[in-house]
Amino acid sequence: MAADRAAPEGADGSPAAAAPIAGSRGSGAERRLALGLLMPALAVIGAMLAVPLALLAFISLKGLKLGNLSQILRADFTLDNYVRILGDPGTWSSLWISILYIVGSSAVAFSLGLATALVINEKFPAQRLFRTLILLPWAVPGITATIAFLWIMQPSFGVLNFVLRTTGLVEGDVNWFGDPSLALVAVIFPTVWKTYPFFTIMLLAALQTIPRDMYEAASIDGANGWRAFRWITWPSIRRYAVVALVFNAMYVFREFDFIYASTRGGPNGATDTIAIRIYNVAFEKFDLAAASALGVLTFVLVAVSVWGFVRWQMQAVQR
Amino acid sequence: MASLTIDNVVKRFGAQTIIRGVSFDIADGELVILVGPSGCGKSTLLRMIAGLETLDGGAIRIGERVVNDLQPKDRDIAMVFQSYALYPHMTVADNMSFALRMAGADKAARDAAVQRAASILSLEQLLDRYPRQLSGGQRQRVAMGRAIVRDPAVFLFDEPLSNLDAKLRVQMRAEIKELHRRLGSTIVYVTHDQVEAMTLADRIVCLQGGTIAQIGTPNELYGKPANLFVAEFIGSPAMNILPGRLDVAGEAATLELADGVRWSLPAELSARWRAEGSRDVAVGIRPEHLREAPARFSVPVDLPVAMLEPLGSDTLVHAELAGRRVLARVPPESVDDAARRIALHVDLGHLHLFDRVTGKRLGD
Repeated sequence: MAADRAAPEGADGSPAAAAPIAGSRGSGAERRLALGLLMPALAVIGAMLAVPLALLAFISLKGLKLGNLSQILRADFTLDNYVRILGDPGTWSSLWISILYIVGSSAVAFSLGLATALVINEKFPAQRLFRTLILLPWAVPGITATIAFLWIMQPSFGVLNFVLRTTGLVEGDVNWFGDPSLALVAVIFPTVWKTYPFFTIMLLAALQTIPRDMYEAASIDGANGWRAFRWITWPSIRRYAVVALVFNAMYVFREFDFIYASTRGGPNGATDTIAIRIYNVAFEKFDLAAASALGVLTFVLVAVSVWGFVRWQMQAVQR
Repeated sequence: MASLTIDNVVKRFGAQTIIRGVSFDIADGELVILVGPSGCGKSTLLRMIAGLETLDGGAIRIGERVVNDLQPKDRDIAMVFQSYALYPHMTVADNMSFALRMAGADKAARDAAVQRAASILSLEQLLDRYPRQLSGGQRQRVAMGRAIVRDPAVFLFDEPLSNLDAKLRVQMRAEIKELHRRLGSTIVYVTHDQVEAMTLADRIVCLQGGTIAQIGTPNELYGKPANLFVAEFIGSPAMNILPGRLDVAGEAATLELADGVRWSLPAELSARWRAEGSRDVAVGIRPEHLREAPARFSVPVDLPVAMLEPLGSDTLVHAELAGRRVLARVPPESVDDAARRIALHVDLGHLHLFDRVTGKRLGD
C-alpha cells in the first residue's frame, strides 16, 4: 500500500507553461523590433509615472516652498522639508485619522461585501442582473456619490435623519458632516458605498473556486450553515480576502474626492487624512516642497507595507 | 453496519424523470454496485441515499429507519467522492477526524479513530501532510480513511477510481475489495466501468434510463443477461449480437442468420427455446464462445479475418459472420498474424437469444 507514487498530482509543468516566451531567444534584429514596439508604451509610462515621481522627490529636497521650475532648480538641496513635516504634530494626527478612516471603512465595506457575495453566490432568479447591478456604485464617480450623500445626510431634510427621527432613534437634527465627532463617520458612508462592490466581486470570485462537493462532504460530516462557513468557506477565501483588504486599504489611503467634496478635511481637522493634508499643504499653504516631502513619505510607507505584505503572503503560500 | 432498502424511489429534475420507481434491498455487509451508462441515474440514486438529493417518491431505509427526511449527517453514512473532496486547508489527520470533531468527540477519541483508520490504510506516515502534498492514490486512500473513521452503517462510493491511472485503478480496486472483506461493511458503489463492477460486487444493479435492467451476481449478469441492454453492457469486449430468426418445427429448432447461415440446434438445446415458437431474434455470442476448438455442441465456421488485436494472453480476432463484424477471443498461438481466414467453432451451448422487439431474454 505504501509503495505509492510520492509525486503530487498536477505538479508536472505543462509543456505550454515551460515554453520560453516568444522572442526572448530571438536574434538582435528581433530584439530591436520588440523593443521598438514596446517603446511607445514605455515612453507613456515613463512620462506619466517615473518623471512626476522623480520630480516629486526632487522638489521635496529643495529649499523653496513655491516657485517655477528654474527657481526650484537653482534652490539649495536640504532635508528641511522632511524635518518640518515629521516635526509637525498635524502630520501624525493626519496619519492617525487616515488609519481610522481606512480601518473603519474597510471593516464595514468588507462585511457588506462578504454578505452580498455570499448571497449572490447562491442560485436565484435574475442572478446575473443582480451581479451587474451590485457593481454600479463602483462605476459612479466619487464626487457624484459624495453629493448624493450630502443630500441624504443633510441635517434638516436629509432622508437619513428623517428615518432616524421617525423611528425615534434621535431627537433633533444630526449634523453629520458639521460635527467634529461625527464627520469621520459621515465620510465613511460614501466611502463604504463606493468600495464594498470591490469586495463583493473579489470574494464572489473566490467563493466560486470552492467545489460544490466540498460542501457536500462537509454536510455529510455534519457541517452546515455557520459551521460550513467557519470550516470550509472562510479558510478557502481567507487569502483572497486579505489581498482584497490590502488593495482596498491602498485605494482608501489615497482617497480624496469624498472628503474634499464634503468636509475639505474639517471640521476642525476631524477628517484631515494624509491625502487631504498633502493637498492643503500644497494649495492652501502653498508649501509645495513640504507637500512633496509628505508625498514621498506616503509613497515609501505604502511601498514598504505592500512589500512586507507580499513577502508575508509568499511565506504563507510556501507553508 | 446495516441493511439498506430502496423502495419504489422516484426522482425528477423539472419535467424529466431520472429515477422511475426503483426498488431493491441490500443485505448487511453486502457490496452492491450500481452500474450503467452515463445518465442512467446511478449517481443520482447514490446521492439520494446520501441525502444530497431529495426524493420525489418512495422511501429509503437504512436498517429499520426511513431516512427520506434526515440530514446527510444524521443518516449514519459516509461517502467517498469521485474528486475525493478532501479539505485542502486541513492536514490528512484533520480531514479524517473532521466528522468526529463536528459531532463533538474529544481529541483523544478522535486521535484513536484516526490512528485505527490510518493503520488499516497504511496512512500513518502521511497524517501531517496536506492533500496537495499527496499523490492521486494517496488522496484516494485518505478519502476512504475519512469514511472509515466515521464507522458508518453504510459506505457510499461515487466512482472513486475514475480519477486514477489504469495501473493504480487495478491496485486500488483490489484494496477496496480487501477492505470490504476486512471490515464486513455495507457498501453501495457507483461506477460506469463494468470491469470494476464484475470484480468487486457481491451483486450488481444494472440501471438503464432510471429503471433496473437487471439485478444479480456478476456471474448471473454475465452468464444470463436478462435483456439485450445488459448483454451488451456487461462484458469486455462486448457480446456479439447478430439478427436472426428462430424456426421451431416440432422437436427441431433452427437458427437462421443473414447470408444463408443456418444452424440446426440439437434436441437438448432446442428444448430451451421450443416454447418461444418461431420468431425474429437477436443472437448473442460472447467472444470466448467463438472458439478455436470444438465444444460439446458447436458448429464449425470459416470466417474472413479483418483485423487482429493481440492482448498477450489472448488474441482478439475481428472477423465477419453472417454479414456482421464479430469478435472472437482465441489463444494467441491458434492464429497466424498473416491469416486471411480463420476456422472457428460457434459454441451453441452458450448462445443467448433475445426477442428482437422487446430485447428480453428468451429461454431459461
